[in-house]
Amino acid sequence: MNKITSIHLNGKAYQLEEQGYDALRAYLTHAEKQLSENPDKAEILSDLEQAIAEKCDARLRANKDVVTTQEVTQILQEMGPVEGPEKSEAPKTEQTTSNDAPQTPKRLYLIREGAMFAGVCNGLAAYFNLDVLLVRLIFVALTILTGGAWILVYAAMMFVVPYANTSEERAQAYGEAFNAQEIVNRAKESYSRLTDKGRWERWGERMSNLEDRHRERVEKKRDNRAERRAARQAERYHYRPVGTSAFLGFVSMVLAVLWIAALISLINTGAIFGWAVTAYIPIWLAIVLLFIVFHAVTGPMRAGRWMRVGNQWHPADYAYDGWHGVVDGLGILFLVISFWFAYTHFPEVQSFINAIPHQFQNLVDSLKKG
Amino acid sequence: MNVNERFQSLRTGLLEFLVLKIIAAHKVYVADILGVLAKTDFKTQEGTLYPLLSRMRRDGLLDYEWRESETGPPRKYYSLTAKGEKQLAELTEYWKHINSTIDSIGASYE
Repeated sequence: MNKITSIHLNGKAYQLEEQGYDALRAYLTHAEKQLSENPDKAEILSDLEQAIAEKCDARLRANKDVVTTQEVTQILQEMGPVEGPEKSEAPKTEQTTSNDAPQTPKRLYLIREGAMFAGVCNGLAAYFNLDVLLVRLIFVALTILTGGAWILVYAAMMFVVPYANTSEERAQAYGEAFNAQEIVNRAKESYSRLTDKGRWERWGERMSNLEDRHRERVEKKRDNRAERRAARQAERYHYRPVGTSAFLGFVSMVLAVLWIAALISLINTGAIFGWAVTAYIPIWLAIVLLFIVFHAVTGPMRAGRWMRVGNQWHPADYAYDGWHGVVDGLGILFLVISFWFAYTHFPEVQSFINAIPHQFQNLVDSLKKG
Repeated sequence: MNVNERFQSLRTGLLEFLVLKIIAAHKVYVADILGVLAKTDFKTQEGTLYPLLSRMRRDGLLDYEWRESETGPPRKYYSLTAKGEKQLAELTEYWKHINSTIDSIGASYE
């Protein structure tokens, strides 16, 4: 089941699947950009529309009145890219180099298509370029390992991560446009240049009366895009996750959950996931070791996650390098040890700590009475 | 780089000449032009042809008239102008000249 969009091509109505519509719009926008210097722009565009309309006609029959995405892609491939008046060999290469690579940044989305439940695993698989089955197996394994707690992570992601609704978002989820790929990529750039309202309106008119509802959707999308662009821009001046950062973030999240689970299990049962640690070492040592292990593992990871973009380390910025992880770990270790030391060696401290629940109870009681 | 790729730019340059030849033979509609070219090494797409036709018309080489079609909206049928005919004659002449040059070079070295 796919959403369809109605359009007019030279006065005749056609129904296109939504992704097909996006590709077509991208194609025509790209064409318009290529022909921007051409005095016959309007005429050529209308000729192109006419040609597309005829190709659509050829694919419609009595019982088939929707042009599928696949067919639109096919039509656009037949049409071929519109070239500017002067053969645009040189500008083309220039374009690809000046567009610094993250034009289509990869983003984490939930993907409904082929989802088992909410599309979390599907989205993660697309994001990390893994097989969905593998991701699902990892999730199942983690759920079993954590005694079901992992389901909370799934639930959290279900609510926090947005769905990939438009074909553009879907493209971002996979880190590339999967439909009329090059056209969409290039058109996206020219699309963002059409920010001038007047030009946009004229374009809308020329596309001959896209339905109002549709225009709204397009404009909303444009706004979202502007927002996202701004956010990306802001990000660029601060820290930006690099390389495998998202993966590291994910791993450290998993580790954090595991660690908390281990800590709780250790305190409650004296064993970590059934491994009776307290038989060999005192429980406090086990807790301390747990802290050290956690920080030793996640520290460098956090550091790696937020490496600066480029090689410059601006003095005003807080440079979180690998040592911070170790230092953090040592700091917490020091706190725990000194606390433990105070607790065992100073009866005053011990009685103070032991008295806290009692004092607290007294406080609650006095409040109740009051 | 095979022969096909090697002559890509040559074919691109010759496209205008071929379009003139096709239009000179018949009054044609764009799909006809594409159809003729599709069977040759000069297979071309709408995206390339429409801008080319519009430029040729601006240069005064060709013109079009609207004709009704049974199946859809009216279509543009292209024909050559006097200037276009002249251009075609010149290009044909020059092409023959180049051809004979290519043939004679090397072979006539005796």
